[in-house]
Amino acid sequence: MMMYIVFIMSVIFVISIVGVSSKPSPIYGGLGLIVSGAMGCGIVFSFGGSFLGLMMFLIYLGGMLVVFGYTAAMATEQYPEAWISNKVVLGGFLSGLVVEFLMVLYVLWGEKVSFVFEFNGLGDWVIYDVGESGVFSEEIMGIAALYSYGTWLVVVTGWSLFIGVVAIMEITRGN
Amino acid sequence: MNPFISIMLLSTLILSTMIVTISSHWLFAWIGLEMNMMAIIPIMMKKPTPRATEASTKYFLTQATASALLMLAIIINLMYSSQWTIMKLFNPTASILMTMALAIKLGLAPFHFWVPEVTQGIPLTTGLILLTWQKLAPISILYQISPSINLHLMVTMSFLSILIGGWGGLNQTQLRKIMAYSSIAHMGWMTTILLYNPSLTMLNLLIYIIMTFTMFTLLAQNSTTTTLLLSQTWNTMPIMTTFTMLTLLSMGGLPPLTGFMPKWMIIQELTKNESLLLPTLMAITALLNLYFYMRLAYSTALTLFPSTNNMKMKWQFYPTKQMTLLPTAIVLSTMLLPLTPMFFILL
Repeated sequence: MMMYIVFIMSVIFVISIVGVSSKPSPIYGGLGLIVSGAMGCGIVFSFGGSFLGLMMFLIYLGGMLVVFGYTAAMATEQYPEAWISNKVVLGGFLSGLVVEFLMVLYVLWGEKVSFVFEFNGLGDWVIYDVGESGVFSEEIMGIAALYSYGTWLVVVTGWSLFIGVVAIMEITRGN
Repeated sequence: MNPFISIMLLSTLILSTMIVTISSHWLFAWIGLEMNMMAIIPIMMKKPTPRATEASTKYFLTQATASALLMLAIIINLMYSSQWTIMKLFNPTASILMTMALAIKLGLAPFHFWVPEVTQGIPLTTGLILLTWQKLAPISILYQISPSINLHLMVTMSFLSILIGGWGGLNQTQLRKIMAYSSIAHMGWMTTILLYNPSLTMLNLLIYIIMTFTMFTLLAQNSTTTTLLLSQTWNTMPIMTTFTMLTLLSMGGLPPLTGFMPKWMIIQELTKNESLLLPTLMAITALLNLYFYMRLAYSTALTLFPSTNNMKMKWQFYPTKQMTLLPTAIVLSTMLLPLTPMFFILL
C-alpha cells in the first residue's frame, strides 16, 4: 500500500515538473513547483526522512516559494499563459509527457527495472535493503555531520547564496 | 560599482576558481563553477547598457546549461562508481557528457558561438577576466578526468576550434571579437594535447594567459576596441606599436617569440604519438590566425595611418593610465623561448 502511494506520488512529481518546464507564466510555474515539492517531500517521508521532508516544506515551500509567489504576483501580466491557453505550451507539455513515457518504456525494456504491482506480499512492511543502521536515524546523523565535519561546506554554500543575492541586487540596480 | 561590492565579487571570483582546482569532491567542484558564474555576471554588467545585458544573458544561459550537463555526468559517474572523488570517470556516457559540458564552458567548437558575442558586449578588462581567469577552472577539471576522455570527441572538437577560431577571426575589425576567436583557437590547441600529455595543456594555458594579458593591457592603454583606433597608436605612444606587433606575432606562434613554444611542444608530442596528419593540419590552420594578427600588426606598426593634426601631438603628454605589469608581461610574452628547458619542471 505504501509503495503504491510512493509510486503515485512519483508519477505526479514527474508530471508537475514537466508542467513547470513547459514554460507557462511564472505563477503557474510556481504552482507546478508547489505540487512537485510536496510530492518530493512525500517520497522523502516514505523513506524515513521525516525531518528533511518537514524542513523542505517549511523552508522551500513555506519560505522561498512564498517569496517567489509574491514577486511573481507583483510582476504578472493581465492574461497569464496557462498550460491550455497557448498551443505552444500545451504542445511542450504533451511532448514532455510522451518523452517521459517513452523513457519509462525504454527502462522497462532493458529488463533491469520492473514495476512491482503486487503489494500484498508483506503489506506495509516492505524491507528496504539499506544496510544496518542500528538505533539512530541516518538522516539526522547526516544533518549533525553537516555542522560538525562539514563546516567548510556550510561556509561555501552560505557564501555562494549570499553572493547570489548580491549579484542579483547589482544586476537589477540599473545605474 | 560600490567598491565594497566590487571587492566581494572579485574575491568570490578568485575563491570559486580555487575551490574548483583544490577540491576532491565532485559536488564541490560543481559548486565552485556555479559561484564562478554568479560572481562574474555583475562584473560583466558594470555599465548596464543593453549590450552588456545581452552579453551577460548569453553567458548565463550557456554556462548554466553546461553546469546542468556537468551535474548529470557527475550523477551518472556516481551511479557507476558509487564514489564522489574527482578522478577519471567510470562510464563512457558520463565521460562524453562531462567533456561536452566543459567544452561549452571553455568555448570549444561546436559550442563556440557565445564567445565572440559575449566578449564584444563587455568592457576590455572584463573581457580579459573572461578569456583568461575563467578558463582555469574547466581546464583543471579536464586535466583531472583526462585518462577517461573519448579521444575522437576531443580531437574533433579541438581541431574544429582551431579551424573556426582561425576562419571566424578573418572578417572582424572589432578587437574584442578578434581576441575571442583567438581564444577559441588557443583552446583548440590546448585540448588537442590533453589526452597525450596534459602537462603541455598547462604549459599552453600559462603562455596563452600571459600573451592574452599583454594584449588586453596594451589595448586597454588607449581603450582601443577597433582596428581603426589601433591604427592611431603611433600618435599616442609609438613604443606601443612595437610591443603590439611583437605580442601579436607571438600569439601567432612565430619563432623566436614565446608563442612558438607551446605549438612546437604540442606538435612534437603529437608526432611522438604517431599522428602525423593532425599536427600538419593544425599547423596549416594556425596560419589563418597568423593572417589576421599580421593584419593588425600591419595597421598598427608597419604603416602610419593618416590622422588629423591635433592627434599628432598626443605623444607629447605623459600617459595617465597605470600600466600594471605591462613591461613584465611584454618581456614574458616575447622572450621566453630560450627558457623552454625550464618547463621540464611541469612534468
